[in-house]
Amino acid sequence: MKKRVFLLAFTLVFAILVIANGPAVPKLAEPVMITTAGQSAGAAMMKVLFTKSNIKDFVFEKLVTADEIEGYETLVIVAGASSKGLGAAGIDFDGETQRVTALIEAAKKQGMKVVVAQIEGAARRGTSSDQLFSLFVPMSDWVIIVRDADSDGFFTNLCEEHGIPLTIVEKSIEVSAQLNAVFE
Amino acid sequence: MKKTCPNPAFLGFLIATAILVAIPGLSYVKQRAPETIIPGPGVTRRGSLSDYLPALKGTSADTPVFYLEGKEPGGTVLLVGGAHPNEPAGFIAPLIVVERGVAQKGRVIVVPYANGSAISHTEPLEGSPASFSLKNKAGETRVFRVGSRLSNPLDQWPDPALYVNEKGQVLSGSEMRNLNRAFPGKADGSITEQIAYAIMEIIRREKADISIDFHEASPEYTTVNAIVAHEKSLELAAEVAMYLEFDDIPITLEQSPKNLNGLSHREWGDYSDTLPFLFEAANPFMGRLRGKTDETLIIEGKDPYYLAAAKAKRLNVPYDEKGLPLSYRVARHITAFRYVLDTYNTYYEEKAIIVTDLPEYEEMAYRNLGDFLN
Ligand SMILES: [Zn+2]
Repeated sequence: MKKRVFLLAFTLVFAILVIANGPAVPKLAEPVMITTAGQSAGAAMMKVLFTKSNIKDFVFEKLVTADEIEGYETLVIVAGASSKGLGAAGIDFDGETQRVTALIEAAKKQGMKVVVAQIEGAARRGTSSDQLFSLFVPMSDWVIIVRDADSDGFFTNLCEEHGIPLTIVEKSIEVSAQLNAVFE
Repeated sequence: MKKTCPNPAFLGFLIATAILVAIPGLSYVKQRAPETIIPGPGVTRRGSLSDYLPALKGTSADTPVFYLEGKEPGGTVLLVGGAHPNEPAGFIAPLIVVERGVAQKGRVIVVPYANGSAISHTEPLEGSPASFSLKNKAGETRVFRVGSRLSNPLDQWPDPALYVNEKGQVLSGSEMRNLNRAFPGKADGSITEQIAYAIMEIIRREKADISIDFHEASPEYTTVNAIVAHEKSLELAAEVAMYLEFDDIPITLEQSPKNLNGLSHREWGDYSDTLPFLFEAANPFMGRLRGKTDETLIIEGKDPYYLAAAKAKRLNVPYDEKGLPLSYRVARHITAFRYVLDTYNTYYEEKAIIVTDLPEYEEMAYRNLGDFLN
């Protein structure tokens, strides 16, 4: 228990040292809608990371649709394909990509900022997941990932190509500190 | 009267037959003899699965249940090992809790060999060793049987051509003997369904706040080095996964699909108030790519074909010359269990479960696992 508290404090301090590459990270505002693209459990991890941050006004809806985001300022999409997760949510891969595409388009139309995250690392890199990243990263305003997800430079290249600011953290637990830094 | 003197050839045939029957017969009987479990100072009581379903009394499916009860009241956690007794870390991790752990607050209930029928035979046609052994600190040998994924056909036979479970899901017939497809079970069902029912009864009667099912799977399987959680336990599991990742223990989190019936992480949550978790470690002994299948493979987890597969990027888990030894696989399970308690305790202070004397990850992984057995 003590070890965990220590680790948490340690990460919060050192996470500040992580430097975002490329274009500047936009300032984000509450309220926040958190959802998934691909129904992996990364979105549940993101909810926990928000709970541990200073941001208080957030909602997690794994199947939120384009007409349910009125009044929100930020859309956080945790991308990662999971067949178990898609099964649990009762949606297929194509249905999921259509939902998220429509969602991002609606968010942009109402001036929301869109964040794409990959916080599950190398284990959530594969043909289906990569398809989601390729589709949604170019539509986003900020990408935050764990180092392990980018061992082949996939995200670095994708973000560079589309001029999207990319923040890389060593461990998912550091995402809370990054959120504290970008929300005003 | 004619003297009956047996023909020497016939006599020879009889003797040869007796030997041929005795050898497999003895090995069969040996596989039915339970291994010694040496409960540690934390065990306050020992019971049986049949306490929860008397119909199991005297059957090969009856199996010990250990209780570690703290002086201070708190929550209850149930640890289920050996639902698939061909997955050694799945029963050694809970056994280490029985032999080492001490509950300071709350209770731990442990069923190290959930499927007592499946431990009584090895996996057919897999060339699996019947047992493996570990040396404890005193240099004594502890022998552990290796069982099968499915209940023994001598206890449940024949298999139907197809197994249509309670909710209408269709599986191959032999899966009817798979405990992790049999939940929530049936009190008057097959022996596998009865075991499942009795485990559900432990969860319900003992009011288990948390229930953990320990497994292993092949390194090429998609759900491996993973925690599978019911939607009720998903956020706790998410936090646990992040702590494991922080400790450089590779982990993925998967949610239990609603349409996969009979599995612990689904039905325990649907049929009781418990928070279910399933832990899955990667083990080359379980996989299709493995070469020589012996005790060393179980303990050291080193296989040249898996190394080649890893180099060809065909595995879902990190794999290198160090292999995936049993000590590492068990250390992962114990560490994940400790993080589940830590995380649970921060949200449910009044029902906290505090267990001490469990080895730390660094003490166990890649070390002599027998050091943690009595
Ligand atoms: Zn298993």
